Amino acid sequence: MTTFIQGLTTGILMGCIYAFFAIGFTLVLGVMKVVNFAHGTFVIMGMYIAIFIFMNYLWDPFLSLLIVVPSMFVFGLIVYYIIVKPIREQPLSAHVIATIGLLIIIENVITLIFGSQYRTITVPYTTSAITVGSVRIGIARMFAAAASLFVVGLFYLLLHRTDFGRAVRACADDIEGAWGLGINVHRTFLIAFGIGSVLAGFSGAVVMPFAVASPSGGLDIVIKTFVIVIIGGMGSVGGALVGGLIIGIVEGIVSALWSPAIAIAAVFMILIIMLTIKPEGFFKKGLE
Amino acid sequence: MLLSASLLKKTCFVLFILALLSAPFFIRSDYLLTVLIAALYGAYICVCWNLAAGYTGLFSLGHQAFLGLGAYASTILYVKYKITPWMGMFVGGMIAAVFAASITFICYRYRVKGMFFAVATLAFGFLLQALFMTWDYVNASTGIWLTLQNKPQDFFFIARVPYYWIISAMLVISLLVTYYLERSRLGYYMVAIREDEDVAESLGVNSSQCKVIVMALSAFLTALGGTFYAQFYLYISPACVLSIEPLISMQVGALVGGSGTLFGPVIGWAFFSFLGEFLRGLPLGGTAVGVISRIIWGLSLLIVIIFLPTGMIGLGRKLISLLPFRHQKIATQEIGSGISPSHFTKNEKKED
Amino acid sequence: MLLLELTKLSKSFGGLQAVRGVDLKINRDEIFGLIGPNGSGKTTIFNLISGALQLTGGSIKFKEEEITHLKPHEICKRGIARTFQIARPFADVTVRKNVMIGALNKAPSVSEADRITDEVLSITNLLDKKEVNGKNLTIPERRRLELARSLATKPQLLMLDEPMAGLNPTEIEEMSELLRHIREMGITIFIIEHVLQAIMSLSDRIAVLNYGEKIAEGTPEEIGANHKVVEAYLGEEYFIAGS
Repeated sequence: MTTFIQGLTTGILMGCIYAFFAIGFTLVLGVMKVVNFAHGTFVIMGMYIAIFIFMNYLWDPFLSLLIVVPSMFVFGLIVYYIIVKPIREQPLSAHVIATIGLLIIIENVITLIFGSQYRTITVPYTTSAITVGSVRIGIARMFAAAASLFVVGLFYLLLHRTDFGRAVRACADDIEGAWGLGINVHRTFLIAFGIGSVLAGFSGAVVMPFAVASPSGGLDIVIKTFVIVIIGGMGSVGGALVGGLIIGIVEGIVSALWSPAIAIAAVFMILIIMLTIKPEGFFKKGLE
Repeated sequence: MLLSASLLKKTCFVLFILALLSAPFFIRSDYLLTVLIAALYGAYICVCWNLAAGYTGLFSLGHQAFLGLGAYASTILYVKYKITPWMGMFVGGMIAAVFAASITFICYRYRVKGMFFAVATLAFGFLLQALFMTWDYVNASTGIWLTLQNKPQDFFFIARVPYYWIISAMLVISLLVTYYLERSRLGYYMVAIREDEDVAESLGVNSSQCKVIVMALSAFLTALGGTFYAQFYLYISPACVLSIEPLISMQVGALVGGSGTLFGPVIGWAFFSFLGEFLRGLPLGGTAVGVISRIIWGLSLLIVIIFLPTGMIGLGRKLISLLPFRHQKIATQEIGSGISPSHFTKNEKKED
Repeated sequence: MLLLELTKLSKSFGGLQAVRGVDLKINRDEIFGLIGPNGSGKTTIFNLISGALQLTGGSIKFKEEEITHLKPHEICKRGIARTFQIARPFADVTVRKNVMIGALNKAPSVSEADRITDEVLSITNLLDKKEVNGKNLTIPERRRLELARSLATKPQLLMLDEPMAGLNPTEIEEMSELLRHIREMGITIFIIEHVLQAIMSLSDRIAVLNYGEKIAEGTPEEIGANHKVVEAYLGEEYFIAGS
């Protein structure tokens, strides 16, 4: 029973974090209908920027966000111009190849600079935990989950309470209509992609206090993100949260009671079930 | 001389076969032969994937599962039951075909189409990999080793040349299958389904039946490739034959070369595998060589897909149409454009 | 002779009743017109007949046989072909291949389909565009391609959804001639159209739909003089010239 609750608790925390991983991806997919397989690698980039700053200045990853955010934004703008803009209107196959090409480039550049071994950041609270009953909750994980919820909430407000958010939602719904409303669709796409990249890098940085980084982790992240987005509904922030929590909890419980490998199988079983009963996800048209 | 598309295809085919037949006499080095065999194998699985994805629009992101099923089926049958891989190959093919048919049918039954079909196959691929990584019967993630020996009746050769002939034959057969399919009723229907499934149905195309047949065929052929992989490399594991790596190779060849075309996958894969080999051979300094060559490889991928959306075959056709002598119907022939991600968010039928 | 019979045909989407209890009989060799304001359910009826949509009430009989629950490709095999309101050619495929796909419906072999394709392309005046990709055709050419493709399936009933949309008067006249020629070939035509001039002169009989219900049926003259039709379509103060 305690293992169950331990798994559940970790799962909930990880679920929030997974949701954070996913919102950048769902934003780009929802607004410009681009499937970015390199998204997970953007998350990894955030991790490595944090690692770099820690290695040289011993800054806490949360502090290094000051650098991560602007650099990921600029990076996103560049990638948009060079890669996303040309392939946006092309079929899925082009997105797959182009973003996988990008993934390969980024992964190997990281390997070139940092080597392929696993890396971690150790801050004072890395191994601290609070204990509730017989359940051990890592402080670092809690901070990351809290940050995730905070940013996801902030992002939701951005989408629904700002002019830019409205422009984004208009473009997601109907590009022609958005032009008709005087929205500069191209600029909206550009900034949206920048934000998506920031969200990815941000989420990578906040997990560094407890996570283990490797250059090739991007694909696993993006696959999991894909699953979350299908469950929650493409382009939906609330859906990403729901999807993230479902995946996190299932993974946590199944890992604790059986094994991580079975947990992967369980996650994909859920995906298959979702595809057959509700392919559009829980939030069909999206909160976006 | 009047140059037509089918004349061009037939000529290329003949030239290709001649090249294949003569290569072993010019290439003496075992190393080069191995590189060539690997390239032909890569091209083979690209052609198999292209049948489903390029021609029919069945964008399978889990095709590596069929590769793995083929490899494991023949290997397990040999290692545990002493059944020759020549037979195990076809057993593996049948198993893969059954899985493929089932998935396609289930997706049809639950109306999982286009983008979502792609995701379903993705899930299936990962599921299978996860399963094999923990299944002790197949030695889980450790994998299975086969011994290097000379036993032709059991698909083992010490020399490299027999493998060359086998994979060449397989490639030629898969290309012939593609060629005749293109001209057959099923081939026309495959293209119709890819372009617009609903319209195809209204024209009498039994799309579910066609999709099941094509997926099963593609899976069967892919699985045969899996057995070849096992017998050639003598080691299989979930990380080799069930991971996303082989899938990426399949897609690169087909999509970059020209999806939905006969020689597209071969040309696409030839270009990128030789590029890879070339980069590996460059003196780029120490341990960074592998990494830098991969960066250049990835960059080339990007450049090709951004500047050549119709693939290399598309470029070839445009170039031919600029030639001064008389030609017909080459530039207009279709390149399968595949599915669009906007199908993702609009799964409902448009009602009037 | 009765070819198509719709009995109490109904379709609702959730709360919206798109088609309500429509009864219709179409005879062989007729040209039967279906008119009505936008959103009155005309295309929905086509979708129900062709099997693209499942009905929620009533039945459909073709050549005395129930086809209510058949799948689209089975219905095409029985002899019903349709075109779409917005032309949907197979974009990255040549005109020839587009029509071949239709021709393969009844043709026993690819070479026979080839022959049928050439026949149909010459009837619809598309022979010189044989090797052009679907996406590179003009609107009138796309409409003719839709027609050619459906014709190639060798139907007994051809359902046309606004084939004249986007055509200029000359093209409309050409299309009308073509449709009369098709009828002479022994094919019954069921046509939805907004270009009233054309449909009034083409059709033997016309049915009028409004809000999913059939409000009138009869010869073009009868329809033209029918008050309910005029009201539904044009508002009370209007009269169709000549009535």
